Amino acid sequence: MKAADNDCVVLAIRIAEGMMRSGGETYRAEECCLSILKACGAIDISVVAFPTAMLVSAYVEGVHRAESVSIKSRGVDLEGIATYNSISRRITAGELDVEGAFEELDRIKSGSPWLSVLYTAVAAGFFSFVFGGGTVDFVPTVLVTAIAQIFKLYADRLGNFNFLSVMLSCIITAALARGVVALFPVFHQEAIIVGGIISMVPGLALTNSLRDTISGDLISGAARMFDALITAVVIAAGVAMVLAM
Amino acid sequence: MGLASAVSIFFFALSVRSGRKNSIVAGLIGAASYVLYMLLSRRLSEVGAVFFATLFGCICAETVARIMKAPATVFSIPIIIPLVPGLMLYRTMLSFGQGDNSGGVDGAVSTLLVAGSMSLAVTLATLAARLVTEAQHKHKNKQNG
Repeated sequence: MKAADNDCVVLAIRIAEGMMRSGGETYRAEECCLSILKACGAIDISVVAFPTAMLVSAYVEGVHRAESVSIKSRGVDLEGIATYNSISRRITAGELDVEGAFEELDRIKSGSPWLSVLYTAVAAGFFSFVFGGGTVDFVPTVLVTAIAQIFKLYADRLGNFNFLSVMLSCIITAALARGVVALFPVFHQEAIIVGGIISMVPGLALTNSLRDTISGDLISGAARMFDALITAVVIAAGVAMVLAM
Repeated sequence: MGLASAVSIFFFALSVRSGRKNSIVAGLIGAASYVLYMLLSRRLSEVGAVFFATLFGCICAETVARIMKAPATVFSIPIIIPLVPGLMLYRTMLSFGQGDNSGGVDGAVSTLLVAGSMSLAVTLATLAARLVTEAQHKHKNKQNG
C-alpha cells in the first residue's frame, strides 16, 4: 500500500475489517467505520459489512472515495475486538489522529499461537472435571487436546480449510482418547473427548449470528448461523466417526 | 466444581485472548452462572436451568462490559462455554455411533432444545442491555435540554 493512500477511509475500512476478522458483531464493525469517517469530516457515508466482505463509500474533502475488502478468514480474537474498538473510540473522541491510529494498527500483534494451544489444553483439562471426569483425567485431556490443537494449527497454516481442520482435529481427539482409555482403563473417555472438543464448539459464531439477526443484519446473521451449524455438524461427525469404528 | 469451571473459563478466555484482567472477571462470572445452573437443574428441567444460567451470565457480562469499557462478547463468550451442550452432543453422537438411533434422535432433540434456549437467553440479555442503554441516552438528552 502506498503511503499517500493512508487516509481516513482506508483506516476506517481496515479497522472494520479487523473487527470482522476477529469475530466482532457486524453492527459494531459498521458503527466503528461510520464514527471514524464522521470524525474525519466525511459526508454521504455508506458502510456495508458482511462476514465475507466490506464496502465503504464516502465523500472526503469533496472527493468521492470507495474501498472494498474481502475477508477470507474469520477467527476468535477477543483482544483484537477490544483493541479495534478502543482505537475507534479514541479517534471519535479526538484523542487520536489518523496517523497515530495507523501506527497503533501496525503495532497489533496476532499473539502467539503456541501460547493459545497451551491455554486451550489447560482449559480442556479443567473442563474435563466440570464434565464429570476425575482428577486422573486432567493429564490425558491436556495432552490429547494439545496434540489435536497443534495439528489444527498446522492444518490451518496449509490452507483455508476451516471446517476440515476442525473435523480432523476432532477425529484426532476422539481417536487418541479411545486409545488412551483402551490402554489405561482408569481414564474416562467421555470426559477427555468433551474437554477436548469444547474449545472448538461454535459458541461465538452462534452468539454473534443471533446478535446480528436482532440488529437487522440478516445476511450476516444467516451466514454466521450457517457457519455455526456446519461447525457443530462437523464436530459431531468427527467424533461419531471414531466412536462408530 | 465451581472452582474448576472458573479456572477452565479463565484459561479458555486467555486462549481466545480476552486479556488477563478480563479473563479473571469472566472466570468468576462464569463460575457463578455454572453454580446457578447446577442449583437450578435440581428443580427445573435441563432446558430451563441452562436458560436462566445463561441469562444471568450474559446480563452480568453486559453490565461488566459497560463498567470495564470492553465489548460484551469479551466476557459473554467464555462465560457461556461450560453451559454449551458439548457433553450432550457427545452422548448423542455416541448413541448414533453405537447404532442406537432412537437414543440418538432423543439426544439430538434435547441438544437442539438446550442450544435454542441458550440462544434465546443470549438474545434477551442483549436486548435488555440495548433497551437500558437507549433509555439512559434519552434520559441524558432530556437533562441536557
